[in-house]
Amino acid sequence: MPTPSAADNGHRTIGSVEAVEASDPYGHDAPDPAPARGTVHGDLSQMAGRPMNGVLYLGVLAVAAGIDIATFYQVLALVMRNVPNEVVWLGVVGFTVTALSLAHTVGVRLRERIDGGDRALSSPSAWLCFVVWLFVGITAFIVRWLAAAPIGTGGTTIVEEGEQVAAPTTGADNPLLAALLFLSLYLATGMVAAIAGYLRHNTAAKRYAISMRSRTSAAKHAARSAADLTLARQTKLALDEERRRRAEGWEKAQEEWAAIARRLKQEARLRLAASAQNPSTTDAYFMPPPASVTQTAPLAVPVPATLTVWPPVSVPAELNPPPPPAVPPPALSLPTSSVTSSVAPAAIEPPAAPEPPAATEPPQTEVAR
Amino acid sequence: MKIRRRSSPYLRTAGELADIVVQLKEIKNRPIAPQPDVAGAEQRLRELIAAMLPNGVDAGTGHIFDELIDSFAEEWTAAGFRHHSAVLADLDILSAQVEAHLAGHTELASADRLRVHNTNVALKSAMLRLADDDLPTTNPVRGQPNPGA
Repeated sequence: MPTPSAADNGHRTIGSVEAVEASDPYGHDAPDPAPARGTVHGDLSQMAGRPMNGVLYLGVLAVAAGIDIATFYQVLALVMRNVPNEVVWLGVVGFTVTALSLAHTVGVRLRERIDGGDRALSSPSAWLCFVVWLFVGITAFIVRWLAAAPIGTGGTTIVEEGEQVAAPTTGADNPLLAALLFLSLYLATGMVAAIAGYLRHNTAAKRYAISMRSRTSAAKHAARSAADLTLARQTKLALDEERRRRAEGWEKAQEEWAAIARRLKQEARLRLAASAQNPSTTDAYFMPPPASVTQTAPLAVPVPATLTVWPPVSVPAELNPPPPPAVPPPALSLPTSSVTSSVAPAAIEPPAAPEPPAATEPPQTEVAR
Repeated sequence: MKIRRRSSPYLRTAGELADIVVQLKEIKNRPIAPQPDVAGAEQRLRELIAAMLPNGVDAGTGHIFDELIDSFAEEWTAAGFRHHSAVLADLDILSAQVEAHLAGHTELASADRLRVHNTNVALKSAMLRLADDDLPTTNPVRGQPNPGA
């Protein structure tokens, strides 16, 4: 479907969609990626792939995830005291992934709003993700601040004169400071994830990448199915060819066996004639071939080159010479190449004997008009 | 010959087609017809002729072996027909299998070509969007109560 603005403002940059729709319906022609004339407003370099700074973003996000894991563990360890340590770690990882995903989604949604020409802060989904992310962080902060530290679960115990004494509280063990540190790290890592999502996300490039991957996958499948189809077709052709070859071979085999039978019959006659030791008997065994007979035998009646209708229509019947006696037609074994007749085959028939005219009827003197 | 089975759904019948090709090769190697025992027939004729008296057959009875030789030929033809019919039956079975594969592969190939065509259209649209980020994303006419007014 044509895009109105691109068609109207003359800023069409890459071919036309109509060309694709009017092309081969089975998609044998890939779209031409070469840009045509016009102004390019977007960034076509996105088609070449993502820049390598994506690795830097991923590294930063990995470090931020590590920090989150470390801080979340301290929080979850406070509230999950009666569960195995593996479950605590599972909760920590899930907590971290959820928090980073929320922050990343906020950045992505903001970028999509801007790509669509809208205001960035008008995205409800971005606001929703931000509120949830912030709520998770504040909740963890409060828990880290107010929840009591585990007692007797590990660490060093100081015993003086047989009595256990409490270790002196230092600034590092202040729950508020630790919670503030956690909150700052949470905000920092969330901001990194949101910025990465905002900068790394490009709606058009993402759609292009998805379309390209889909086309590559579809082309692979089409290539395989086309290969299978060709194999099946060629196998069918080979089967048909084999059937035709066998039909012809069967006919030739029958002809060969008939020829062998004729040869055996001739050989049997030859052996019988040889055993008789008599030339006249040998001649009687074998008849000369018909072709040699017709070629050497004289013609009984010469065939005229041209034949005329008998009797002539302009001559009275009584003046006509007597018709020739009825002669049977010449043998049909005459070689046709020796007869050059200019009349139709029906005219070669010998003239039939005219019936004697009736005594009361006058002779036929009608002249052809 | 070991045939490698393919796991792809698009090539799941390729192994079966390969089996058909192997069977076709085996059929091709079969003779068109069984070789007739011509030497045995000739030997039999020689023995029969040698067993006859030198002047026991005259010119009028030269056809005495014709029926025998015709029976030889008919035996060869009957055996050849049996062989030919069996081969044709095998070819019919293979042909039916190939027809079934052909029908399935035709549908698969058609669907895949259509999918490639659709992805071409999608790719073209994505390229247009990438090249011109000012393209509208919604129908500008839909929200207007009086389009063109």
